Amino acid sequence: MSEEYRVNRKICQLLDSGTRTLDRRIEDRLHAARQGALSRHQQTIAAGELRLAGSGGVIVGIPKYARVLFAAIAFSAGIFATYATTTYLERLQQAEEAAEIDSALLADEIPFNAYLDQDFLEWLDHLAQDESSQG
Amino acid sequence: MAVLGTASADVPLLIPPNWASLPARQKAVLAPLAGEWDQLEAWRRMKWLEIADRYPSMTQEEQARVQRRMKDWVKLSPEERKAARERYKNVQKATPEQREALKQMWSEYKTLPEEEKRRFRSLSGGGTAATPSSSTADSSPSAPH
Repeated sequence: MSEEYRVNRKICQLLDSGTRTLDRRIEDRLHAARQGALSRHQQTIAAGELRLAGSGGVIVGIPKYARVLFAAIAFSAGIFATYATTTYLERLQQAEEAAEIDSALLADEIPFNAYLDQDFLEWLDHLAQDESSQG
Repeated sequence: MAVLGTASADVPLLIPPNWASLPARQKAVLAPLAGEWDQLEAWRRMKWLEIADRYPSMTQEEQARVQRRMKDWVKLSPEERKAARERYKNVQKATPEQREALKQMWSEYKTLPEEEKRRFRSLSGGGTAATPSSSTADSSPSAPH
């Protein structure tokens, strides 16, 4: 028998002997308070308890499958948020690049039709061939 | 990033605004696109807002060209816009003299009679000219579309 056990036992004996001298009404109130505390404790466990500690989450009293599901959803949301942010930034970058070239192209003295007119491009080729054959 | 830094001063760019929500200054610049604006993809609206922000720094002549051409530009297919950008970028690598020569050739080409153009088309074995069918900006009656 350890020293700690002997001390605990002594405390219990003292408390037991103390309650024998208590008034009946006080004894009843202590009993009711104890029953109430036990009841509340049981309800807390049954309902589950969620505690958040720091940036990570500590989930207590929730079934394991629910915790796995929650982690999977959180992970997927993180992946989606990263993808969405990356895509958005890429779009912004594309918009900025396109704006730079489109504003210059649209404002240029040579209209964009010239760059899309296949006949004109072939005519240029024809002129270039004529020049090279003459030169 | 310039897009965030400039256009966002007027409107939030996370969701590009519809036409009704645009500030009057941007509406004035982008007026030729009023009919198409709400159907444009989000990133294209962002691009046009960026162009609207560059607009005040252009000369009056450039501003007029941009406004005259933007309506036809949005009607092009993505492939046509891509091809035009690529050819424009190549032309920018040329010397100023070469660019000036190209401008003169385009002016000269526009004055060619249709019969002459058809002759070059048949010489090249073509006849399937890939001209932008919807484009009318800067085209004269004798010029291709």
